[in-house]
Amino acid sequence: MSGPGLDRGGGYRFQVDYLPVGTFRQFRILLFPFVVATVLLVGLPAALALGLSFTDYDALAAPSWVGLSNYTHLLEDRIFNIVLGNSVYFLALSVPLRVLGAFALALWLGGERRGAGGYRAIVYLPTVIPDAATALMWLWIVNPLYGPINLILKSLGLPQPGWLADHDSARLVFVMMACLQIGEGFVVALSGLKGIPRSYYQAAQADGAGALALFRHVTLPLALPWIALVAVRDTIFALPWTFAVSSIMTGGDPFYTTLFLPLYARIQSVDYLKFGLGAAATTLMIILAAVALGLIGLAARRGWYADET
Amino acid sequence: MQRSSAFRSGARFSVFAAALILAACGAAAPPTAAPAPRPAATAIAAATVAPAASGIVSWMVAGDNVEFDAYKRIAAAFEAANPAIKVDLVYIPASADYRNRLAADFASGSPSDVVFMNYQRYPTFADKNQLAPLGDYLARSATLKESDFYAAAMDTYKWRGSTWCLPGNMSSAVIYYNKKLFDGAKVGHPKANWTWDEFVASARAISRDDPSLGRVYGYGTEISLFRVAPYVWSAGGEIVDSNDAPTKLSLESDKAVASIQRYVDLQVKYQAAPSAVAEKAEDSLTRFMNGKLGMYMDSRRVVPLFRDTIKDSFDWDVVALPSQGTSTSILHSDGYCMPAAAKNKAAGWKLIEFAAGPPGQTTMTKIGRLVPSLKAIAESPVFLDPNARPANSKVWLETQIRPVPSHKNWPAIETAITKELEKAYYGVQPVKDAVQIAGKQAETLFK
Repeated sequence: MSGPGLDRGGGYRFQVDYLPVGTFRQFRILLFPFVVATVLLVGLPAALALGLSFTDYDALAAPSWVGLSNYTHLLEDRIFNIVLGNSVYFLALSVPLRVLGAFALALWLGGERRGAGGYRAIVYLPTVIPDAATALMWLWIVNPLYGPINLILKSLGLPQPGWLADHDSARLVFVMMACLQIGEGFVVALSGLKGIPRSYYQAAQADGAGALALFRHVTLPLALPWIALVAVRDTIFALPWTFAVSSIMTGGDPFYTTLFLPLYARIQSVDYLKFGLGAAATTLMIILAAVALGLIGLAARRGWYADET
Repeated sequence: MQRSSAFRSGARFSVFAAALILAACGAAAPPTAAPAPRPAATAIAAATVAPAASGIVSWMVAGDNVEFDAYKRIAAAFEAANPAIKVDLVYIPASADYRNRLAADFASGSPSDVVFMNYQRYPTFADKNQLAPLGDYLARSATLKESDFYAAAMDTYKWRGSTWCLPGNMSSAVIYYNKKLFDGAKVGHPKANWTWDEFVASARAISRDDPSLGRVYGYGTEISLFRVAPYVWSAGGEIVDSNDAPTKLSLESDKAVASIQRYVDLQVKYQAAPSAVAEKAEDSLTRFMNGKLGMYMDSRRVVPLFRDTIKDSFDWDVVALPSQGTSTSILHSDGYCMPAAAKNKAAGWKLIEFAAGPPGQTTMTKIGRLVPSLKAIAESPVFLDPNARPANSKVWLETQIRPVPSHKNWPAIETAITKELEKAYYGVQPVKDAVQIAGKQAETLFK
């Protein structure tokens, strides 16, 4: 089996034992352009961002060193704290739901059945729609008076939320949107689940395991590395994803409830020419993502050890 | 020298580009020292000894296709009048993109020779010596003089003792009204000196559930400081402690709070304006064009849109804002400015003279979008065309207009106030809380 896994010490390793001699060298050659691009396009700007976050810089004159004041200003700022809360809310809700959705659908549609390919394509389809088009489509879907969701709710005699007009439901719309774009996680989940040897299930069944026991003691532990992989991927991409959709759909309205860290950083930097504040907000966003990744790592390890005992 | 200048430009652009990457995806610009901008005084000295204007002049503009076509016509006419000069028109359609591009161009040290800027935004750039003062150019001009412009427009481009741009237009907020809905509700058409109470009574009378149109509202507009400020002034209140050198908001005064409360009552108390949900479902601008809104507040900018979409489905006109004491409106204006780093200042000034002068303003006025800042054009049939809607265009020339304060952080301050007013307007928080929170939020931005 090839793929991410946990070694006995709890660390991740890549299982490629069966690969022929020399393959690692080829891996390194293939990885080289990506490593260079990552360093130049992600690592370097991130380092520059960190430096800029300690300055007052408007792009019109030289930056001046202000120490930690951008960070203290942000952490004392009411709006930034709302933005931070929105971002934590979105991460905490969308990532688990997306992972759960991807694996639940992979379990459901993973077997060979009539029309399975078509269903899988349907699950993947929303992912290939560009974010801008998705945003425009959802503006119609959640229109409080003319959108299909509220029209259905109205026909059923149920209360109709204001969705993007209502500060209680606006953030939820973004979570709903994110939960429909799970195609990539779904493919990874399908691949991971298909990699579990059939013999494990047969052995467990021979020992009298039922469906729930098979899932609890075979599927879940063996799928855990893949679940962690999808969760890590989703955590990294969740907040940047909000940028395009919130810019197009709400601009952060109503009352800042859909203003997330990436859009906030852009507004501070580009609209108000406060690049130091924007850089500090971005750095805090990276820290937030790192904390979330740490929690995922911790949960994955606990899952691994729980399975071991 | 040339190499050094190019290096400095490149270095500054690198800093800005990295900052943009930061803002977009989690990184930022480096703290490397960007060189100080060229002093504006150098620019003027250079212009004084500059030879006759010639060469290429770059001009960055924004707007829809109709406006772009008008700019192209102005550029062509300018080239015909000045054969030695060629205009390089840089067109950025959306105003938000235009602002981003403007900031990027200034940061890279290579802005266009002539740019168009709102009066709320130029102080940010003037504060950093990024604009060339135009006062000396205007004083020496053979075709334009300061008294040709309305003082209300001209004065707003004067800041810290210098004139930074020439006003290209001078619009203000007015009330657009649907005559058919007024007649249907048996309400008399609004008159020039109408009061707030008459306005509220009209809005309430028009608001109803119509069997074919659905819900009809008496009044609507997007909620912002720009829409509320004229009524605060009208009631004798103020937005800030000093318009020229503001240090704090003044919205917590009794007069200001009472005025804002009256505005909020339209929606919260009388339901004569769309709620947050109704506004999200169909904004007030669209409602007005669809004949489902009695009155709509905006500047002159919507006239071409209304002419094009409403056509003859109903008759409409404009009237001054209702008075809560003294009839007052708020200035909407954009100016032609010349960056301190402009490469061809001599030709740049010639173009500003032409675009802000009678040839340019006549062309732009004909498309219907603007109120001329030049008295001669504004008071001519070009603007006061009795055969084109709105029939009452003279309202823009008769209204007392005030600008928002000049401050380098004004766009951020305005946004902070608008967000809190929005909460009050949709009944989420009391007006007193809204102005208090806005005042606190603005405190740091005034520093």
